[in-house]
Amino acid sequence: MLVCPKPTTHLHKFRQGNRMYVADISQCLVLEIDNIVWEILDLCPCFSSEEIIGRLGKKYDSDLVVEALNSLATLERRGVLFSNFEMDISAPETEASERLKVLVLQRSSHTVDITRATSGVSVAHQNLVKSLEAHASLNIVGESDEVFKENVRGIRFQGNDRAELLKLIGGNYDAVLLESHQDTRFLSLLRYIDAPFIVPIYCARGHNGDCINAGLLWYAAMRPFDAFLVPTNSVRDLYGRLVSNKDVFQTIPLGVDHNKFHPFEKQKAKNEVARMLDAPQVATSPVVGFFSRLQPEKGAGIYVKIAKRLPHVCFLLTAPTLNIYAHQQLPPNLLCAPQQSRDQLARFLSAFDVYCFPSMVGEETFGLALLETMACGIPPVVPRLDGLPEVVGDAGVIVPAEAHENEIGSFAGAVSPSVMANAVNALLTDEKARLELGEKARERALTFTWDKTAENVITLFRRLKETQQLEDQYKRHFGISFTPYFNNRRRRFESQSILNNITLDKERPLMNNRYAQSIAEGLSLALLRKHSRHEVEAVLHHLYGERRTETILKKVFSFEESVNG
Amino acid sequence: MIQFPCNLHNLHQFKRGDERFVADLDAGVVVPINEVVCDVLNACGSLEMDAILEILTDKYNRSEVFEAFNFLSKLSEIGFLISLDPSKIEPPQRSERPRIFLTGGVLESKKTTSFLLSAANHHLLTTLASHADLYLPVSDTGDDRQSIEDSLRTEGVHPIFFRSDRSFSPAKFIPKDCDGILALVPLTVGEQIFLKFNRYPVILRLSNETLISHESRNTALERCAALRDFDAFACDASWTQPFFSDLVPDLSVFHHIPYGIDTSVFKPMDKTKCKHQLSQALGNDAILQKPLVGVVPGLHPHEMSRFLRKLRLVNPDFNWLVIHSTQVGNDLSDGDVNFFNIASLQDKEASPFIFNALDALVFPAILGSSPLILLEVVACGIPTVVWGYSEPEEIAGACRFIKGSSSLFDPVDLSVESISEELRFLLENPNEQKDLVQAGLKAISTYTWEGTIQRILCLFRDLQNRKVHQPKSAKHRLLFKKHYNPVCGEIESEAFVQSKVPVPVDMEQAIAMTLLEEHTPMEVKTVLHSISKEPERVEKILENLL
Repeated sequence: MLVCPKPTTHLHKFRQGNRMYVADISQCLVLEIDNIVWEILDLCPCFSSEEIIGRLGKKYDSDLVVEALNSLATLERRGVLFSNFEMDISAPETEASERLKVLVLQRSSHTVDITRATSGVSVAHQNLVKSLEAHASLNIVGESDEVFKENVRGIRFQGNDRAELLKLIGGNYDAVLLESHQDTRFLSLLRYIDAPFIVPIYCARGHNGDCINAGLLWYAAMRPFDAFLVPTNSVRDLYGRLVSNKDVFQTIPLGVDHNKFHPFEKQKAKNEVARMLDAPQVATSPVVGFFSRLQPEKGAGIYVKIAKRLPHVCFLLTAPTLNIYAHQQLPPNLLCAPQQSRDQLARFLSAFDVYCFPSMVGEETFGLALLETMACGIPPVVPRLDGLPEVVGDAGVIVPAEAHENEIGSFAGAVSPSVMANAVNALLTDEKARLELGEKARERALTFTWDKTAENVITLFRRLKETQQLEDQYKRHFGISFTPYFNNRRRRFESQSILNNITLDKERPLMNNRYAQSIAEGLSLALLRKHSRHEVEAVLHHLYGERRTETILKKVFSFEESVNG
Repeated sequence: MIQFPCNLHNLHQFKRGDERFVADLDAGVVVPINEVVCDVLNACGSLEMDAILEILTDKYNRSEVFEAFNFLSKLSEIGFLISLDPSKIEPPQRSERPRIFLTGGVLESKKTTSFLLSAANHHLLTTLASHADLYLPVSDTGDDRQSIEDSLRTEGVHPIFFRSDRSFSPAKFIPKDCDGILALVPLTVGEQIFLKFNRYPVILRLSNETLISHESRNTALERCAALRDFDAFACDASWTQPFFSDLVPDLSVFHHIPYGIDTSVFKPMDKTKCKHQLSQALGNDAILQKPLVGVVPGLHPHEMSRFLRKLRLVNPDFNWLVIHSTQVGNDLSDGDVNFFNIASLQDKEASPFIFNALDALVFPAILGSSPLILLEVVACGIPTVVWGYSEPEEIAGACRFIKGSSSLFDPVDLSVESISEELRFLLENPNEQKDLVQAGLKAISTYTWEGTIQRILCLFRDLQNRKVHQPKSAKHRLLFKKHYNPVCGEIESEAFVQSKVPVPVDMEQAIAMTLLEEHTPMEVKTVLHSISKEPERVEKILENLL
């Protein structure tokens, strides 16, 4: 039974004809109600349930009143009429105007535990969202409407309820942040929410082309004030080869939590690991570390080969599972630690003398694990692939590698185990250089903070919002017609498109009445009425190939540009 | 975008403090709205978009109103506030008299009524006005309003004066329950667009004599491309259609609706008397001495004068009279060839006498020649020699016909020899003349203005029905995107319909689908033929979609 008193400030009752309705403003719902409920709603802000039964019991059968209160309780459980969602209607817009109101679209729940996460995507996203809390009011989609903090609330959105969608549309957001570009189920929201979207690409290629194709899907649907967030220029360069508008890729490096990831005393760390693994050689030998999933894509096979080449060195790895390598004869100098919780990780990483990460996956857009290891003062040895060199800079050894034009499996590059082994060995034998480089790595890592990332994201949001405000509210489109015509000079019938000098609002902006041009140009202008520039790019690419597409696009877009002021 | 006026759900608006809300009782939702959206909602159930804009732009700026449109269209897409189902919109109540909106040449040109002065149009309109209410937009230049009003003072004609200094939108003036639009050439760009983006059936009057140049033929093709499924071309000549047959996918858009002939005016008269009158009018006695042969031009002026020169050279024993119905080509007259322009009403009154002075008529049944002159001359009992692509239906069996091998854009095959032969045969055989004249008079008797109007009204009814039965073209949410093919590492393009489960669509088909929402089937066909290398597939795609 509904426990009263309950506030009803978010409810509005009205009659239409001889029917009665109640509108729940906070949930965007309308329900048809009967007499009893109408009266209960009148009473329930001031009286307890018992009092209500007492008062209404005289007029109606008290069983009916109880029944009505019960059904209201059922609604309450479903979050309708009496949800715990606090009224947000009178939210003072002006006061909060400094802070952006950001909608966060994510697949995982806001309270997900990332201490054992193995995917860089959710680690990066959770850290970014956490840092954004200081700069913006966040609304995070999830399973329920709950308030996490003063400026962080959850919004119930399962993706298939229209009323939920309506709530999002009416949300007046300044910006929308996605967890990952692979979340294409949020794609349709671009049509309904006018705020700029930032779509991060933490995973550039691989997965049988799925990553690139999800990126291309967002690209097609993006409006002029949306952007991709890419952690390194390598991602921008990769996608820049595939699409013509490279400006949508905005590079913002990720960060690292320096409270968690900092150097510990090396010998002490080594001793601890030696004790943990019951392997005294860790404490006495040089240690080459590997901290990633133990998969071929991440260079597990190469790492094992390097271990075989340097038998006097201890190779220490931490991974959730040993994968296929569990069934193979691993060299005796290769030690496997179970996965470390993220709180313990820095202590473990500090036992490394060198961090060796021969990843060839083509989806190391950044290398979050790499940065975390660097933050612990470990000099890295990595191949010249993907985003890794950009993170390492001059604070590590970058080994030459060959990048493939397109991938096989998920492999986008190749690195030689012996070249890698030589680099590792050189660093191990030169202690001075190694320590210097470790220090440098630590210093470089200090320049990457989540706070900086969040600030950059906020700056980008503000810039996109400006772009959006500069965008025209509505575009002028000309009446385009297509027609065959007789080309008298060539004595044959050809096709043309006509740009009639009249916009669909019946204005006449140009000098002449009509202008003839090619079908390709007319088609582009006609498609632009309903489709994005990027979609027109895809159509032209299909019809006319890459070279002609660029020329046509340039012409059509510059025309469109000069029409709309 | 929403189609205005639109079907609103059962709505209830209310305020909470300064916040406005609308409750959608059909969908069970509450939508927070602003003032603009509120005003648009109040207006859009009964008004067209133009009217809503007009009303609200006093209060808000244009972009705010468009923002509100945009917001409502988003909501309607997910099923809120506005119903996208047009089935509830009542078909217009049929009044006793059909209402027809007239457009063409009058809307934006300064010479407001020039086309009305053309005799044929005058007849057409006055007869039409006795059966239907005609709405005729006329630019109000201020000074001559009274005289225009006088000239239009016919029962059933409703002039709509508009100020020519403001941009004119026919959509604002067209009566709500209009049965159709009759468009007479020439059309301005604005009118052309209007004809495409309105919801009424359109009959475009295609006048053969305006098709004399390449440009105007190309324009006709363009107009043809702009016809929707419930529009039609009404040609005045039976021989217009074959010229376009290769270019038009659906010949059923062509309807032959001939002019009427007022046989009380155009009738056989005393030839000698008429010849004398003509010779006096021209100040030329020679007309009385040789047989007088009329020639109707249908060619380019330079071709025409070459043709005439040749005719004269081969037949020095005839006199020639060129009969024009348009203003062009006055340079034709030279010494022996006499020249008449019967474009204006005043001249029209003289034309029965002129025609009756003829002994024969040479007529090219090709693009650019007016069928009206042919019919009027035949009505005066003059035997004719016709050359063209095919024998004109209008006077089938009632003329000497010479088949030429002309096509739409090729130079006309001018067989001066065979024309001369036919002429001589005709003038030397009074019996043949008599037979032709009798057959001609019989054929002409079927052409009345009443009949013309009935055909037009009947066509409007057909188009109305076609429009009612027209399934509303399905709106698709299509997305075109590039696609990375991991096999070869190359970029390809693909399209799909965005729904819960995206459905991939063939690229050409997707282009056709998205274009069909705003372009006519003919236009889409033009585009597809231009972008596709396989004509058979184009046909298949269109067949599937239509």
